[in-house]
Amino acid sequence: MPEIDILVADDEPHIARALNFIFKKEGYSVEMALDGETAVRAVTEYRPKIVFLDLIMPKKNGDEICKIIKSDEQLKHMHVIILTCRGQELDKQRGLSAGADEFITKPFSPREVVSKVKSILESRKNG
Amino acid sequence: MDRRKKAFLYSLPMVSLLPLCLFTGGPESPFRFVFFPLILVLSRQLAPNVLFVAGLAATLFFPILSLFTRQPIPDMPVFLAEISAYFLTSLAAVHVSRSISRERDRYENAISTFHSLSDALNYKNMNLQTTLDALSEAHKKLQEYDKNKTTFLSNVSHELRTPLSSIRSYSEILLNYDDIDNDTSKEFIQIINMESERLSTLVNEVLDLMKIEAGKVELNMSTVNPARLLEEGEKIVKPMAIEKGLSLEVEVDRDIPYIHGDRNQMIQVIVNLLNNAVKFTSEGSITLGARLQGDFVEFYVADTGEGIFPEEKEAIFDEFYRISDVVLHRPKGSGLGLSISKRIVEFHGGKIWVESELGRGSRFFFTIPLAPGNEPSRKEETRTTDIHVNAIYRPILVIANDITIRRALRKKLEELGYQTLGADTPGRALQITRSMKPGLIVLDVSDDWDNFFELLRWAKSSQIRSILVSLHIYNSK
Repeated sequence: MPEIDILVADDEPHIARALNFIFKKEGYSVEMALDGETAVRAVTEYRPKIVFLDLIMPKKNGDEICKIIKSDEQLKHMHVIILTCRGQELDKQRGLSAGADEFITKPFSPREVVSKVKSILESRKNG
Repeated sequence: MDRRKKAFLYSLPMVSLLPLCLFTGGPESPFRFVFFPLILVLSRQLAPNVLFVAGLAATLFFPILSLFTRQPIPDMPVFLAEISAYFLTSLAAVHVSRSISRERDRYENAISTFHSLSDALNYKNMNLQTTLDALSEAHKKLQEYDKNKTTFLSNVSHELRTPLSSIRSYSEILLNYDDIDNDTSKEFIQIINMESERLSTLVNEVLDLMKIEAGKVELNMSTVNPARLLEEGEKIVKPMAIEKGLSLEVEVDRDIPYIHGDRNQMIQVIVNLLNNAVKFTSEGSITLGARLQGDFVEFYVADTGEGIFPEEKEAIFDEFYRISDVVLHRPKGSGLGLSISKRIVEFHGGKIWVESELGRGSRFFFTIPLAPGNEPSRKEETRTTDIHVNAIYRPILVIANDITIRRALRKKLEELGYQTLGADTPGRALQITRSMKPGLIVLDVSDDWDNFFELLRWAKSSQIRSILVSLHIYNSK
């Protein structure tokens, strides 16, 4: 079964693509999903180490996908990062109750995202 | 009856009783026993001062009588004392009864005051309850309004953030990585450009909506020809439709009666509906039309797009409602267009609704009241003739010094169905305008400043719109 570094799920193609682009540039293996169902399929198929989930997506929302990941013995080790909007504390609540590991607020800086990914993957390697 | 007259009348029987007593045995007279009850009865009616006068008269009666008869009356002192005792007793009785009745009056007053107070209290209580009800109603409404506002704000902020995220990400990517190939970086710049456009559209729409919300929209009402509105809308949206390979047809009776409305707002509604139709239709046609329906003109925009769910028919007019998530590749939009359109139409006293069948396209309708009397307005007529109608039939004058730019612009415009004329300099363009009036001027910034500004002045005075483009990258020579 293939194993990739990162899965990016966002229904805004531009945002998904931007993340995809920088991760590839930094040398990671990345896959994209533009809706919730594709994201769920991609999670089981590609076994990514880190999953970026937009909170609101067609077909399945980010928090639902997060719940699926965290309740599956095979998948729950994945690091789930939920993309939220600043000022929408309710979003954070939803993500937290779904068991998300981290949050990134939009609009985000790609550089910060990359450094975050770096440190996560580094600590996984060491751990 | 006058109070004094009454007193006089009541004292008469008593005074007349005195001689009766006198002549039937004086102090021993059997009639003296009538005195006391009579006084008691009368005292209820009489004022004490009247009793006093009556008693005085009776007391003085005998001495005066003895003066006239010159004959002493036997047992005079006893008789006088007896009468005085009667008077004093009756005076006291009167006083007591009066004070009792005064107390009773006071008590009754107090009771009626109490009753009226309690009535007033009841009334106030009822009022208070009504006020309370109204207040809690208002409170509920405010809460709802507040909730709506919060939802609206969070939606706005979400909608603002999405393009902002793209702009930020792509500009940072472009800044951070030097090894991006030309095509990719150009594409990223295009994304940045597109997203900033989306952002500015959204900002404009939010501002529009807030203006409408605050009631600050000044409607510039006039008599408007619906056929012209359709032409205008068609002209604005046609390039977009052609680009997507869709046909755009207009159905209107030339004699359609005029409506009463703000023409710019009307055009905004038509363009909003047309834009949506183009956005949500991947193939087929879009039909724009107007027809008379009673006291209204009914406008409609029909498409052959995906259609909408029955349960969405109301909701799509809400702020930030987007067509169902089932449609995966949903087009970008602020989600405010229909909500703004609804407000504009309702401001005009009309209605807006949609009829749709999933997979069979949608038909949006809105109605606008007819103009009173339905007289075509001259002002409206001339204005549209000058600017808008000519703009459709007259060619577009493209002025650019650089021949490749000029050619590219003309080619693109002709592909969209417009006639074009070309000129290399503003001076040459001015020569052309002497023989031919263009519908629109597209003008590249040029070094030929004198003619450049003369051309702009001329365009302004002839009410021809000009679009300035700057395609050069100037190097400071």
